[in-house]
Amino acid sequence: MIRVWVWLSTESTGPARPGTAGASPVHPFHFISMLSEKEIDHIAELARIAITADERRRFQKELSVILEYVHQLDTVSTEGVEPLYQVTGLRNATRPDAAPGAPDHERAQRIVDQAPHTQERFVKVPSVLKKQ
Amino acid sequence: MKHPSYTIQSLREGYLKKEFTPQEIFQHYTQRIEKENTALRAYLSVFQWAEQGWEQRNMTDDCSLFGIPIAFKDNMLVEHTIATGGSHILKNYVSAYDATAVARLKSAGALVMGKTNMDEFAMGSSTENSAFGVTRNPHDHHRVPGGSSGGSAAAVAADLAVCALGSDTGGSIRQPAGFCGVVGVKPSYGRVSRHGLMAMASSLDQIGPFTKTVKDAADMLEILCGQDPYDATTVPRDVPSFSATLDAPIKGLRIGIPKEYMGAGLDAEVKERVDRSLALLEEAGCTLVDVSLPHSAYALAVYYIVMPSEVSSNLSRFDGIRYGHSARGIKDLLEVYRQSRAEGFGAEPKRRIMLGAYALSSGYYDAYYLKAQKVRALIRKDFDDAFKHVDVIVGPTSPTTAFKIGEKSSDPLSMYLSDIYTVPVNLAGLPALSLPCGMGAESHMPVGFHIIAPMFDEATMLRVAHHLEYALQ
Repeated sequence: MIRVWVWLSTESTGPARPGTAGASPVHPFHFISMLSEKEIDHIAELARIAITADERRRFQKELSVILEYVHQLDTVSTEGVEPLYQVTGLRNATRPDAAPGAPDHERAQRIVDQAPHTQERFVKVPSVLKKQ
Repeated sequence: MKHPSYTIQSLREGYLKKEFTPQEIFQHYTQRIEKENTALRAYLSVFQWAEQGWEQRNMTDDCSLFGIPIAFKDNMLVEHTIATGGSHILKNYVSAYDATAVARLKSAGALVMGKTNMDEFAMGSSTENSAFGVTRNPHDHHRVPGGSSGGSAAAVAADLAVCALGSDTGGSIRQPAGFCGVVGVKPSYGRVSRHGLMAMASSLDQIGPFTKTVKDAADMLEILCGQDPYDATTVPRDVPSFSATLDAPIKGLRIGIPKEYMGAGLDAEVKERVDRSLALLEEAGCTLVDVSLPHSAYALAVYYIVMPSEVSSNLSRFDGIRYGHSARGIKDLLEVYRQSRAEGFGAEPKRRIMLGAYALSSGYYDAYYLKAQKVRALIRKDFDDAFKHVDVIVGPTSPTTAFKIGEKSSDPLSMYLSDIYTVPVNLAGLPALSLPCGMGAESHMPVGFHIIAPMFDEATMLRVAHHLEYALQ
């Protein structure tokens, strides 16, 4: 990452940022870490979304601004704190390993029919393995 | 037939006195929707009487929503009908079954009026992110209804339904309820089944009602809550009769006011209405207690790591193979994924999926996701500590009243900040409610009063809301 100045246009019109309560309005220019175009391409690849050059530029700025915002968590001491992944305390909700009833073929067909490409009761998929 | 704004209570009395039939009420609302929806865009689709399957129904004890017109957010499945989730990628998707929440309300006798508009996949705070047009606030058509359940909130506020369901991941029921001047409830995490709800962030999502009165909300919750074998996160706990305890006195209850919710960033006109409600609670014999939620300042930062991470995982199912939009003329499997998702998703889902993919990616997991879940534990602990001293925690639902359409749509972060008081509640899993508490002096728009209760104590939350609702009238 590189650090650059970016213009945060509507910053001063929103409510104050948490953690900056009582501080003077945030200067519309902000010094932040910027994701590189290469990093954006890598993220888009992980996300399985094709992006245009325009989107690359836009996401580069928008994602960088959000990441800068969430980095305020670095200031919180979490030594010895267990992460909270869920809130109900339920563990291992299980059910008997038995079929709940007769299969509903009509409903199953309606689910298959949602697929863009089908043949009878099968979903058609482009070949996974390439011919040498 | 007259044209009052019906509630569950008033319809029930009318049916008992045989003043009208369910079919007449259905037609009444169908006509109201035809007249108003072009301008409001609260509904994306509207159902016919023939689809209700209502020939044999009678008003009985186990039919407590007999003839009550209800609207569903379009991310919930109603069998044989289209569920878009507000996204182009699902614009032709036909539900193969009923969501559990839908099935429960249907079997209690509800009439399904239609499906309501929403931010795409429930990602937004204004309903401007819908792929199918912006919903307008019934109180001022130049303003947003809030979001993401903006269509449901607007439908109830404009009396295009008696009540509606929404989903709340970071405030998506309570914030639009506040902006539109209706009651909106997010139950405790684990209370209501999400089976048949399009998953956004699974550790946060919860379904809840929009109603015109607190009593109506209590009636809806009694039907919605309860364990469901199809959602393993629902808790095996008894569901109390919420409506039976509404009238119990609130004298002596301790009401916590977090200083973090009443400080910088809060509009004066909102604070003025909230202060008025606090005075009414004090007059009713409650004790106001200052409390502190020191980590709430970090809730939004935690949320914008946890939520996108879960989004990126949940939305990986949209692959152009099994359902939804599929890019044409592509032979390569990876390209089918990349192009279908590029064409099908709008900007906000793309932004959040990418953010989540980054936060979970190799080398960054500890710094982002794990760190966020640790701070989340501290946020929950703040609430636990506060609830040792108070029965409920209250404040404003949002820092401002409804903003103008377009005002925040170009700046994601400023839009995110409108959920600053609601997000901590989802991270902690607690039940919370937004109650209309009057109009802002400057904007002349509704203000929402936020009531947060300890885990699974919806009964106390509803009771306080019911008494305050009465005192405000």
